[in-house]
Amino acid sequence: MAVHKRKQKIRYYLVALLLLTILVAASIYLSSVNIPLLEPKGLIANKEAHLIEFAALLSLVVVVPVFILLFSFAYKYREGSKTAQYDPKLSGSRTLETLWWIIPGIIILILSIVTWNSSHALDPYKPLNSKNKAVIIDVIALDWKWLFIYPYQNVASINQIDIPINTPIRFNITSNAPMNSFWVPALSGQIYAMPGMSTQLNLEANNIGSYDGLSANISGNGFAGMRFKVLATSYTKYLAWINNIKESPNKLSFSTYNLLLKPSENNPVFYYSSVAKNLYYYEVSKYMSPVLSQKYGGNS
Amino acid sequence: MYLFSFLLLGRLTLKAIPSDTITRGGALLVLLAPLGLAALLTYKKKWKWLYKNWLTTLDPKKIGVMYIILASVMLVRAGVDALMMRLQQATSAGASNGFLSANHFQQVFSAHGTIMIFFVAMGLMFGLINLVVPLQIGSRDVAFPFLNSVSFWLYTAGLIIVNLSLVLGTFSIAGWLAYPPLSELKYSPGVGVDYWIWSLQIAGIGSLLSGINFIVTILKMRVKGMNLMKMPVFTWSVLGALSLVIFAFPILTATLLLLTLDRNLGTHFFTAGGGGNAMMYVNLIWAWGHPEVYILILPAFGVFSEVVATFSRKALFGYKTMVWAIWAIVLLSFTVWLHHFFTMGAGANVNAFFGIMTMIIAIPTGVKIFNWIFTMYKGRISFATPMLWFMGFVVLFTIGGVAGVIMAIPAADFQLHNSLFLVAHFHTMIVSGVLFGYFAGFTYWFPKIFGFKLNERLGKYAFWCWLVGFILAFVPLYILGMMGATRRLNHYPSGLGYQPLFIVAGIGAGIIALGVAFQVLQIGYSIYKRKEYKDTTGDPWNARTLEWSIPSPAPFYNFAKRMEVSTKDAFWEMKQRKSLDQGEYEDILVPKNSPIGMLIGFTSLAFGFAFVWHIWWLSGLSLIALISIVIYRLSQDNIESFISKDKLRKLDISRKAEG
Repeated sequence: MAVHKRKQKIRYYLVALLLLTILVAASIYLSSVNIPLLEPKGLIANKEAHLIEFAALLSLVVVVPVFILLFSFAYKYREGSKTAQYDPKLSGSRTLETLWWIIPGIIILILSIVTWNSSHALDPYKPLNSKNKAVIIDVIALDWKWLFIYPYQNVASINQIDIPINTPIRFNITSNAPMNSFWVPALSGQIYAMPGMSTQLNLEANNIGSYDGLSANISGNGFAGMRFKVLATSYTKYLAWINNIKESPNKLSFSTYNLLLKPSENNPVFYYSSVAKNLYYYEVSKYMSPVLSQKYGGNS
Repeated sequence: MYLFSFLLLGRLTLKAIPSDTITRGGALLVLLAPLGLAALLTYKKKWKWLYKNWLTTLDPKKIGVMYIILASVMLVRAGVDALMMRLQQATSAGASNGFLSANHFQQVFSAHGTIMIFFVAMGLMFGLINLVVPLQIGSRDVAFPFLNSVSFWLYTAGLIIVNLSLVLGTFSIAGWLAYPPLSELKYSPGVGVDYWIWSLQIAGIGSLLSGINFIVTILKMRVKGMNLMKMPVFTWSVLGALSLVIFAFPILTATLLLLTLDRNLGTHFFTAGGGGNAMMYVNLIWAWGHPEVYILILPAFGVFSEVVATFSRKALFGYKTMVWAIWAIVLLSFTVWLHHFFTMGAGANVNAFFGIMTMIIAIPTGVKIFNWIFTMYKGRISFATPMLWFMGFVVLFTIGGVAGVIMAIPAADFQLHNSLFLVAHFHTMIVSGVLFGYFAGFTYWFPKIFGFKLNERLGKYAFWCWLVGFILAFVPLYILGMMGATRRLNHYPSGLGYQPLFIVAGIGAGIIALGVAFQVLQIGYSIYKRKEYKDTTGDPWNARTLEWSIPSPAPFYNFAKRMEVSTKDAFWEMKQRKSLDQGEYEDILVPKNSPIGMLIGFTSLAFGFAFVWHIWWLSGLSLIALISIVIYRLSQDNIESFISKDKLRKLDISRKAEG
């Protein structure tokens, strides 16, 4: 019996040791990689990260008691326990049952208030306050690449943008492809890119760096390759980047745009030094007008 | 020549036969499995036995068994899909592209989701409902035994259609919910989305009919004295789930029909042009889809309620609150669908409303969890396998619930939506909630249906594999989501640090597969040892509800005597008062077997298949055949056989002597 017990004890220690090793290895690994949702580099992503952490911590108020009760009852009232009470007729308690409508209720009430306020404060359509003037970028999701148009700078690029830090950036987003979702995890949450509709996203980068952007909604064969870079730079470097594009010999006219609609995968960065006027506007509204539709080839 | 071929076979040509090795292997398996089975049946001369005892049966217990067999086979089929995805993602970083093309990978995840929800979870659910509900309410049968057979065969037809896509043509690439415009003709011109539509359309109608059938059964066929507030909680949860079925499934039927019209008649319900709107589809499909997850999980909650009370040897804590919690969930589940697409760009008020409604559902769910835990309080808990599944469920479900509450905050969801965090969340809910629940229920009620218990040791091995495998497979996905990995990626750049986590997830999936292997072994070994594991008492777990008052396996007439109950947990009370053998024999009518349910299934299958391939003459013909068969059945007389009370008494006495 004693031998058996000792063996069991050794087994528990081994399991504990194994778990510990896994935990240590996991934390070493995770501290070596970049987790953009928890290490945000922009105003909005930062607030969203706080929200995630807050909700997770508040939930612990329920989770911890649940785990403690579950395992302590499971141990205490196990079959064969000699000390535990047995009361087969106990089938409820008004006080307790009321309690667990109320306690989760209170937590949800707190979360509801947070939800209401944060839904308004972090509404992606809401322009951001800043002393710096906002930069506007129009985004069109194509098969399978991102076209970015700077309407006021009259330049465009494929799969890369440069934004000045500490400056509000306003994206207008649509699609001439199946639905995609525009997402730069380090800077802000995502929003859908839908054909015939224009959505908005406002964000602000606070740290200089190069951040990954991607499509978060399946759109066909080249979906996994629909990645782009967001270069967050100083305002001077941003201007230099724009000027560099201006040097490009390529221009985005309606006819080059129609060529661009042809599906292609894993597209390299590409610059256009000028953009046909109101291209984005036509892309969004062409479905509403047969005339526009004929002219610019949108008949889906 | 071309015209002739088109008239005869629509768009079905030799090109439909798969050309790459992996698909060919799959196709071969799909073909060989039934062929092998057929050969075995012929060799053993069992065709007649199969036809008379199973294919034409109207006995809900046998129909339940057939549901569970098919659902288990589909669990393996869609499980292989899961392993393929894990292997692809574990090997497809940077320069390596893995072993699947993007298109093939997309078919695999679409098939995985579709099959797991419609043919595994729904199949296990309707299987258990068929096995247990009539017995639990002291009824001899369901309200409409023939309709029940039709439901089963429509489910089977849908199941065959989804698997045919592996043999002829391709499957949908548009995910398990086929969002337009990707699922529209412009981006998915082939047969894939049509396979998806018709498989769901036909199975979905079966589900709707089953919903009606069992609601009527529960409301009208309970034993005398069992008023609603004395019903077992499993039956309550089924009533709740099926109420959702009859309200939600018509939405699915209509939505699929509109998509069919878009794809076949050039309408513009969900296209960007012509006045359509894809987000209309997304709203509609989730107006069905969100209730659907509660349809799956409520009966599993019901199973846990029975299991935890039985294995704690104690009445369920807070019966009334449990019932109220079920109905709170039923009502609320229709008010939250928009949380699946907060990122559509709806206004802050709309998002906040749906976010708050979503969180409110956590309250009744939390109430249920506390009630289950307090059922254990002052109990005598024996940790048989069903109880282990319950413990695993509480742990995982609570963690998954926290993830759910986080994502219910729209602004937090903007970051987590469509990421692997979301994938990990809903797998936590559906695997621990739905699958663990049905595994617990299957182990628990198995002796009632087959007359012997399952091996406990192998069952426990299976449980631990599932639990450890699940944690290893899905904790990395939560982290990957936080790292900005979105779902459905067939390839990702190296240097993001994703690959080690995907490899761990792959190992976890392998351990889950080992768990499934233990389950298969458990069933095989228990059949081999069935004499040793025989349940001679009819009440192997010292349980509480009426199904345990009759011998195991339950006889075809369920209850020999007309009983009357006066309390909830009626059988437990009877045992306490030692008044077991009460009631009187009476003449009964038993429905005769009928092959017509099967015929309806196969004509529907022909109709769906013909529609997928545009073989218009066949779809017309099968539709006419279908209608004629239904009219024939409706005009049939003499569909029940009579069993006198004397004969019933003799049957009953001989059964009890055997036991």
